[in-house]
Amino acid sequence: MVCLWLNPRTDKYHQLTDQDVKEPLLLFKWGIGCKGYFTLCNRSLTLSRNENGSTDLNTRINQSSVRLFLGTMGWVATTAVLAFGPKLWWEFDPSVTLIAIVLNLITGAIMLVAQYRHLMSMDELQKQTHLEAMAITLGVTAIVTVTYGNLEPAGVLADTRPTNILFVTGITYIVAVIVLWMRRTSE
Amino acid sequence: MKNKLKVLRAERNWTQADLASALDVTRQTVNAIEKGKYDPSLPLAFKVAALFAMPIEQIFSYAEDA
Repeated sequence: MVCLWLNPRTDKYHQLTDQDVKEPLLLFKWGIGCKGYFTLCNRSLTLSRNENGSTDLNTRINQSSVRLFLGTMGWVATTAVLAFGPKLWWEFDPSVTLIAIVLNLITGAIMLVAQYRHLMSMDELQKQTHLEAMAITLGVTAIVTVTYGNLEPAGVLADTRPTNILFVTGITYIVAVIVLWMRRTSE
Repeated sequence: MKNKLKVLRAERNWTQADLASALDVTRQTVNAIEKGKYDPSLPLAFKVAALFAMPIEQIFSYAEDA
């Protein structure tokens, strides 16, 4: 019996061996906990969802990216409200400010969870790349924070702001991810 | 680690994208493994072995300099 697999990503057909097809037309086992179903569609076999209900890698990453984007936007919005609201909107009313602080912390936690889930949705090389980039970023941030914090007492800068460190953190992380990824995946 | 991933894939006339799709990883991950720039985790190595229906040691072998 010849069974074909239509790869939905490349739109190409592939022949499956008898060993691949344990239950013809229904199930294709390719590893531990990884079973794909094949269904008849347009007179060919089409790969559908994994048996454990999870979707494919691209779908997972796209979904978690959208959640991360929404979580980040929510945090940025509440941060802006907390930064400008007391002066512009509610004239430093302590109760409203307290609500703004709590909302900022809650959306921050939501963003953190979205970031974690986004990391977990990646494949193992992506995950390792991001974790190594985070380790590099942590080290660079620690070093720059100590040096930057000493600039004001040393009389080099008149005014230092801790939030400036976020720029260093962000840029270091982006550069580290790009460099590490390119080193491993260059053709 | 050394591996025969590229040979096994070529024997089946699969592209890197096909193999990546079957293993639920990115094409870049398959490329990195084939070129020896990345050693797969044990679960992924077992998944590869199951996909090619071969013992894991026939696909991956330890090489100190690799």
